[in-house]
Amino acid sequence: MNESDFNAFRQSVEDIFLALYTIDPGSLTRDERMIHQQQLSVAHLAVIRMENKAFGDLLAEAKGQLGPLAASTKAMQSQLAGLNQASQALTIVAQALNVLTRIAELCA
Amino acid sequence: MSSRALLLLGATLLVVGCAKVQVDQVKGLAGSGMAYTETLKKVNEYALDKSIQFSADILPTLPRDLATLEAHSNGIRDRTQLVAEASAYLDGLAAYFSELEDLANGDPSEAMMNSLGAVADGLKKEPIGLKISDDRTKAYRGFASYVAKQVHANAVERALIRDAGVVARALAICEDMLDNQIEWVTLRAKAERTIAYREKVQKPYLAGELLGTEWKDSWSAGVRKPPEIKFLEDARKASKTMQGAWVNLLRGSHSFAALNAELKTINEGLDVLKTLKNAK
Repeated sequence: MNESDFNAFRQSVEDIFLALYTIDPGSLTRDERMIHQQQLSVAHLAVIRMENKAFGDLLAEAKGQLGPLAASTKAMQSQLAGLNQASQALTIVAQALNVLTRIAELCA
Repeated sequence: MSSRALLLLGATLLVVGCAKVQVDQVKGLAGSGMAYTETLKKVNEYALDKSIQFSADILPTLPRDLATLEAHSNGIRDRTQLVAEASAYLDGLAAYFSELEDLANGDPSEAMMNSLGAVADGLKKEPIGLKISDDRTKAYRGFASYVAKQVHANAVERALIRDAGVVARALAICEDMLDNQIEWVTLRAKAERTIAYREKVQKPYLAGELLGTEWKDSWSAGVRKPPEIKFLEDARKASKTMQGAWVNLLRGSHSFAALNAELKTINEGLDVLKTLKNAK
């Protein structure tokens, strides 16, 4: 069943459920009420299961994207570390020069 | 992938690399992106709550046997699990925007300027004793700062170009998830409104009963657009705005004021719905 067929089928199930839900039980006989209850139960369950199926399929697709998304996030963390390292490297050089200066002062 | 996702992916890839991205724009989008995922998580929870409340109301009217109880309970348990997984997915997207914000905020130009200035000062001192004028030191620092800023901006732009397709797909999936949840809530809200209108408006009216404030309130609620539908329409609109903002960012144009205003409206709408629910 393709996406369009599934959506059409889902719409039919929802319409049936709405039609059953909005029947006034007060207008039914006792026997009709029991049949109505059973039909309403089946229709409500069908709605929940179809909704869960559609959402579950979407989540399965979403989870397939989590890998690339996580990889993107990790790559970005590496980029950030690279940027920080450049200025950190210069800071280390500056500190080393300060040490060199102090050694020169001591040895003077 | 849905046709909507394909269209957005296509639009995204077409504009990638077409313009110089401004780092401040990226900061704006990253912030909005985190607010967007947070809002979607709240909508996620709201849609689940609505499903649970509706099932709790309908169960007493169904056949009172164990099979019926368990089948409906398991259906909602499955939904609870799905919503939890959707929430985890949104957390993953939020983490991406958080890292993007950190990258955009990680402008090392000032640190670079200070470090290079310190290196120049160190080189002037003995035992090296290089003759570097103050003006030249200032020029080195300024140049280092400029280069660092460009390196940073390029890094941010590279990240966006690399991630354009992945994030476009993720945002399109979010909108599809939202559409599904809007259907959950809309169906149940429509069913409840139909019953409420019949019982609280039609029957008393046709029975010739005395129609007081309660009847007038019920009639007004019945003819007006329900608050939950308006709230969901706002959420859908924000979802489209977020996707548009991502494409616009890659295009070099930006405006997050509209998106941020929409997210604020949705959060206020959620508060109203919670208040209404607690007042019942």
